[in-house]
Amino acid sequence: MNSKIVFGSYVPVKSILHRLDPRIKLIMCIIYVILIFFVNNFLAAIWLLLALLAAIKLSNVGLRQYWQGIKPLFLIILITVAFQILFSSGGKAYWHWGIMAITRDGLINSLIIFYRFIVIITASTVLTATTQTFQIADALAWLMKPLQVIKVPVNQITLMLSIALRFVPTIMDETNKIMKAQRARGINFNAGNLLTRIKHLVPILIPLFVNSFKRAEELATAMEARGYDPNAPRTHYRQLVWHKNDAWAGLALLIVTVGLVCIRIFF
Amino acid sequence: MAKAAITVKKLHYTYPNSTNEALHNVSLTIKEQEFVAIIGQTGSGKSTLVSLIDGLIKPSSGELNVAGLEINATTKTEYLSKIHHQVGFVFQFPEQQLFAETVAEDIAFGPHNLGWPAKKIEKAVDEALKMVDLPLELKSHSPFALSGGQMRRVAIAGVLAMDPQILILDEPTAGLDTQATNDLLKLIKDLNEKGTTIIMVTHQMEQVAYYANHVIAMSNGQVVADTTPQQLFRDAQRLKKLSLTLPVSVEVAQFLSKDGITLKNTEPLTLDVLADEIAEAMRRKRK
Repeated sequence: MNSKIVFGSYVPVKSILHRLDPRIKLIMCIIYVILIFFVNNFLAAIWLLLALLAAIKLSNVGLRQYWQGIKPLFLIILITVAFQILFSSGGKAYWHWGIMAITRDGLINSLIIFYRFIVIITASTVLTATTQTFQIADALAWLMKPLQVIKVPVNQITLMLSIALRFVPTIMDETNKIMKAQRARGINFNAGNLLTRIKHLVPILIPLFVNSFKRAEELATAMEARGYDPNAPRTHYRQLVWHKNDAWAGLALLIVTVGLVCIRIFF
Repeated sequence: MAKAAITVKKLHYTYPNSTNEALHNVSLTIKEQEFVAIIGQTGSGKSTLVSLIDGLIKPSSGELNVAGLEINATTKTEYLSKIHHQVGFVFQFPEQQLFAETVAEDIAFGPHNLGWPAKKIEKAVDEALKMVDLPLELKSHSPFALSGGQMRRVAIAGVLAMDPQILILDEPTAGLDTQATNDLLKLIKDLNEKGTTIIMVTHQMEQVAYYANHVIAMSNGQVVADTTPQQLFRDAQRLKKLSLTLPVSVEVAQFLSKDGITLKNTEPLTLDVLADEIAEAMRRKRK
């Protein structure tokens, strides 16, 4: 019911990116974010930005929707950038007042931070907009597989992750329902000062916790009744299959990386 | 039974981010002290309708008047909260909304929100507990330590303590055993007889037949029947089309008439009436 576009929500449209294997998408996203930290000049920044724009174009999701996703975080980014401008020193100073100063280095640093923030958030939004959460969970599970060698309980972690993701919509629905029930009992969530508003959360959070614990217990019982053994090897209903397009995507990532290395060496 | 408690005119409602109308051109009148049953399949718009009546959502267009308060698409949210002084709403599985440390605190939550003085609240809590047939000793207990049936009764007491003129119940008997179901329905019936207007969403045709004097059937967001239970159950064909069933007593009467035994009252709403009718038919036959 309440399906406002929020940061990181899946956009169900058809595109090449949507069809890609979640594993390659996750790897690409991680490597891209790492690459962002190697950007040291203007040309490199443009190069990676172009790669991101290409991905956005291929994702078939409108720029406006990405902007909707980033907008709530924009204020935090602006505050961080403002701090960076005002409180860093070095280089030519243009203006100063007390401990605050606007310097050349400060401006450049804040520009870099601004760029990194926007690009990294957008890149991860591309991933979440084109990949359903359970697919990301599957991909994560696959990536963690090598950790089994050092006795990390990958299966259990994966199960926990997918159960948590599975119950997000359920809990959202339930929050709506409980809010409605408490409003029917005369509570007005939009009135009062900050303290009353915080107090008004109690009649929502307590039933939510109580019901979640109850549900967890029921789920555990149901799983045990069907013979769940945490240590048994697991099979998957959804099989991840590597296609030709995934190889091409990997190649594209390689080109972007090599391009960045070249730019760093030659400029 | 004269004054209208609720009038609804050409009401439309569309949920945000949805293209389908959840309610389409609904108009109806509910009189004071009526016992109204709202029936219909899941997704037919029953819950949307009662949420609108309780001012929990605002209509997309059209208007409604609830206990003298006019509501339309432009009504302010603060104004909507006034409705809760007149209308109580018992949700499905109401025990899931309990939160306070003690039973008394939980029941007092509603009256407290309405801004009642402490003395009046205390009295209302005691009365509400009595109404749902729970001992006053429970007041200091935690609601989470009670049994499921008791929790439901505490939750209902929390709504009754607000002394509503109009009481909405969304499948109040779901998940209760027979005894608890009968107790609860009797309580609702008593409230109705004392003057409270009752609106009950239900899937149980027996409850419609036994208790309601006005039935509203919904399908695909529209009102498809707005009549008395007697009238509704007369048209078995139409009920079938709406995927609704007949109450057992009416069904038995219809089977009998197929076999050539016609009862005087073709829609006996309760088993008692059915038994009387059969006895009468047998007497006639003997003569």
